[in-house]
Amino acid sequence: MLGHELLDEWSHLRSPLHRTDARVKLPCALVLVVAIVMVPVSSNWLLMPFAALIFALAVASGLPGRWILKRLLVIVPFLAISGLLVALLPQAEASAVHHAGGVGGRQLVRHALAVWLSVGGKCVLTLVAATLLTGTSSSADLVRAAQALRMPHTLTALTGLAMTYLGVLSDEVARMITASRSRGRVSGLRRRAGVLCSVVVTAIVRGFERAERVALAMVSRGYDGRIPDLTREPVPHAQIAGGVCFVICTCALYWAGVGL
Amino acid sequence: MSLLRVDDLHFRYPDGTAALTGVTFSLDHGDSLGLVGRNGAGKSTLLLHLNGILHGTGAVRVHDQPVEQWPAGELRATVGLVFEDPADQLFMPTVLDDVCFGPLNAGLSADEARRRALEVLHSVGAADLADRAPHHLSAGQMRRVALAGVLAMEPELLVIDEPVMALDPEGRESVIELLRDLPQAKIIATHDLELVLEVCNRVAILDGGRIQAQGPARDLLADDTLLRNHGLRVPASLRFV
Repeated sequence: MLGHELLDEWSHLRSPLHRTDARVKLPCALVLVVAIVMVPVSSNWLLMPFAALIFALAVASGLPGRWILKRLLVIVPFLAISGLLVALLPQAEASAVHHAGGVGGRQLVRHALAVWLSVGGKCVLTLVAATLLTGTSSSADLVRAAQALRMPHTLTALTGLAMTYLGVLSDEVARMITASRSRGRVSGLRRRAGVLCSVVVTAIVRGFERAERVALAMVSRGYDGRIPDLTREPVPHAQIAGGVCFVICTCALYWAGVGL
Repeated sequence: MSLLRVDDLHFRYPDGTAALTGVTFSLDHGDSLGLVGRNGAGKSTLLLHLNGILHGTGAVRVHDQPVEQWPAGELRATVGLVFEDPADQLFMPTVLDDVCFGPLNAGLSADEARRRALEVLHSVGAADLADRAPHHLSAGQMRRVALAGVLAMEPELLVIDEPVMALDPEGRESVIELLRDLPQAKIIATHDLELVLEVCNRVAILDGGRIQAQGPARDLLADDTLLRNHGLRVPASLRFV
């Protein structure tokens, strides 16, 4: 059950963010992410108040800091490679400046650094925002929220199925790896890679077969291309008001910063 | 008028494998038919024909009407199919959503579907699982929920593929009790002949894509020669009588 536990690892907590309906959190998170992404490079300082806002939300969520930081590891390679390119820029720029008569070299480096800080900061903040959303809501609630917010049926259906079966497939891969290990240690990198490839290929083939069986099971219960939406109780008015306040504050922060 | 009548049904998979070669049998209201046979005998393939998912040559009639002439939704509400692996059937985010899936597709309102789903979950002893994610459940719980998902469509005929596979003795026993108490007509495809003895009044032996023998469960399952000829063995409870 490895994969399933990872999906809803912290959704059982009872922080204010956890108690907020996913139908409120999802649009708020979208607005926050869009506002952060739209911050121009010239207003990089605006990322600081957004960072403070997200930090406050992270504290309020009660999610372990280490767990959030682990989720950020995924962008480290991207930041490292792009940072390396920025670091190497002075050498490239020196030769270009030499040929171009020495005009604009330093500004180019400064601009590249600003762009790197902007993109890197936005990546970190949006990733933390997404982590807070997924860490404080169950996958089921998020799919239902997407349905309730009238997102395209195909998208929500695929997301729901992916969330449901991701765990099943990852469990299957884990079992296959355990089974291969139980039959002796494979020596040599090439052989190990070969075993891993065959496990992955088998998992893909089984995934297709399972998809066929799931489709049959859906058809046998009257599926007609549309996942029916089981409407739940309405969102409490106080939460809607809170969500609207959050969106207004986020937009106000953005416009105040960009307008300055 | 039979609830279900299958006449000379043939089916060949696209790769040329003949899965069914002239299957004929019928089922009345209140009947429970155990469909037994060795691996690859064609049991699961036959079940997929009964609610119109696969179409072979020959005739499958429900209430004397060929399945091809049934509106798909009505046919699938009349003939409920429970799959071998419950994980394949539990695709919605929560148990309640999953059990509501069929009734909502059948056009029930959300309130009515929820009411019916909760009733059925209660009847299969899974009411406390309503808000759980299906894939967090144990194998026995998954079986119950998968069954509930089909029962919520209020089928007249339940078609169940390997209902107790991979269950521990306690889970197996509780599923058998549940099946025994269900009033619907049933077709149960299984290798578990003890289950057939406990739940079914009739049995059909499928081998090589054809029904080789059918009759009262106790008579057929006591016939050692017949069973051995088709890769089966007399169940322990009859062997030592």
